[in-house]
Amino acid sequence: MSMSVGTPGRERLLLATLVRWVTPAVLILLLLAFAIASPTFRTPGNLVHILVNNFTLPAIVALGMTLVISAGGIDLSVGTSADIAAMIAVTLMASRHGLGLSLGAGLAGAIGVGMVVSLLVAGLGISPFLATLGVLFVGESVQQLATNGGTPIYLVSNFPAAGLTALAHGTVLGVPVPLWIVLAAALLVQLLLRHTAFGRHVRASGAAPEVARYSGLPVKRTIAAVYVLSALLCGVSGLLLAATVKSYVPLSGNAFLLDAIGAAFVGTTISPEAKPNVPGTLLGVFLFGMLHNGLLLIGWNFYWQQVAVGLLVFTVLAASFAARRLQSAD
Amino acid sequence: MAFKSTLLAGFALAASLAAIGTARADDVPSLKGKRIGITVIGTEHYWDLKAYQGQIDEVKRLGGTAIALDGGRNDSRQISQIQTLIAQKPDAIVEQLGNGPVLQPWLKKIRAAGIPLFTVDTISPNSINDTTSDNYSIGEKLALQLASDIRGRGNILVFNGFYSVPVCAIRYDELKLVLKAFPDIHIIQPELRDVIPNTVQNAYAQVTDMLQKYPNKGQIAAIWSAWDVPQVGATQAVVAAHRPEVRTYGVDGSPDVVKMVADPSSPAAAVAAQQPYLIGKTAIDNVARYLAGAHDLPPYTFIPAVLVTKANVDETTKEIGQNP
Repeated sequence: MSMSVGTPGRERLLLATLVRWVTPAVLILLLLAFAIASPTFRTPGNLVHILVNNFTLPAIVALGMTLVISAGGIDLSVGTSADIAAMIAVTLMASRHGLGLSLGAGLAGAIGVGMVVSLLVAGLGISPFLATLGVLFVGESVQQLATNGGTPIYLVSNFPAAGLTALAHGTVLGVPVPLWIVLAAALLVQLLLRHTAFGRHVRASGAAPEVARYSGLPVKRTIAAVYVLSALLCGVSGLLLAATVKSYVPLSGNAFLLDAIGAAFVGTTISPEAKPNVPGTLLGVFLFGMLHNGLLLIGWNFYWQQVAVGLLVFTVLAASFAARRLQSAD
Repeated sequence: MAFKSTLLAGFALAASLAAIGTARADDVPSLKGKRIGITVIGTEHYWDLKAYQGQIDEVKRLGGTAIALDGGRNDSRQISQIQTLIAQKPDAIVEQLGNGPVLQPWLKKIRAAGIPLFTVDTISPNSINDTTSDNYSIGEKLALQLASDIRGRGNILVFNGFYSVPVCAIRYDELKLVLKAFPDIHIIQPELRDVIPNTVQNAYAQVTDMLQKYPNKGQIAAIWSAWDVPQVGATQAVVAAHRPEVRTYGVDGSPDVVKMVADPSSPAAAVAAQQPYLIGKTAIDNVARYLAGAHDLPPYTFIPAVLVTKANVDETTKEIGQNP
């Protein structure tokens, strides 16, 4: 009798563990494969390059997306927040304003985008998909209007603010500044989500909004705050992007949207409850960045690189969901 | 006396040439009462924007009404806008720079609807006239400059993400043609793919990857791209990696890229500078002439481009109306 009860329990536990290890296992396998196939891949310099150039910018955006998806939403306007921040900051710097003022104004612009989204989603009750899609379109138009149709603003020559270069290319204690920023953002989001009442409200709003509302939780206020926080994080990413390439090219931030959504969902595979979480999201972003870098270094044609990324996302999610179904069937 | 006669004849010739020039500038027929549809794939790049503005300004100057639509770098959106334009039955449609294979059936539909079609930088059998730079010459000159700068020897990185855009294909094909004469220049495989959006940072990251893969001086001699926004990212990556021996090359001549070429310490070695505003304006002038009855327009109108290099930057920037 005890055997018949205990065996399914152990199997479920084993399956649950396997599910959570799918993504890390894929990551380790790919790391090994690339390290064997490309001597350049396994150099410390390349690892730093993956982290700084392929990981930091989408990671910060994806952390915001993690918050939003945890609250049961989706944010298609992440690129708009990043771009508005970069546009304001670079415009001010190009007209010789100080670095602090420019960056601060850029972040304020991103927060403004977040507040508009909050108003639409939490205030007017518009579905997050439609509200953020609308903000995405309006944001594109605003950028084109503000830049005379979409003219990039470059800070490539004679730019006095050395601090901008330090933001993207400097180091503190030997670690690149952008990585410190990702670390700080990750700790902040993790702390908020897992160790505060706000985080509990976010997760409750995402899991069962009606129950949360009838339980007296401030669902609207929570959701509003989540979109503002997401926009703020995207603004940070936009400023880092501008600092990296010393320019603002309209609509660049949209490039992070799909990676952010993909990484947040890949990240759910390491969670016992299949929920978005900070370590999982960072793992997902690193997986994408590493894959792009590794495939380029081993000489794969770009179009096959895209196929590989798509297949990877499909494989990880399919394996994880299949295992979960088996687990629940037990 | 003979000298005086020659001088007078010279003055007369100069005066008549000036008169012809003035007449050419002013003899563009009015577009009053005409509606001109303008469809462009995108405007977020210097070239696109200037050519687009050149068209709109010229339609207004000639008294017409422009129905201008920007596809936002989205093929399906541009096609949808072309359908909208066809439904509005304007007097002519001008299509600017898009994905050739995707566009062709829709350009054919414009002609099938009886609407005169003109193109800017889009080669199409359905276009009455395509106004463009001489991309064959641009591609050849840029490739020859690159080959000369690296002394006919070395490995080069090539951004070739937009081969489906006809003008990019011409420039790339010209590069390959020129390189046939320089067997010691090799294109590193795989070629890189420039993307939209986030062109600059993406080019920066890809070039940084390749500089890691080829870490020694001399392993990469130059970086070529069919337009100049990837060149910005590539140049910054070269600077960040402290590899100033790697030269960068591109096409379009955005003012900031011209400034980079003018900077003696920048790895940006050359950019083929086009005159996009003039290209857009000239396309509309051709529309006006056609609508006024000049049905013998040539299929192509080529607007000159200049190759801006570190050696000639002072003269060439004056030629294209920029300040280095």
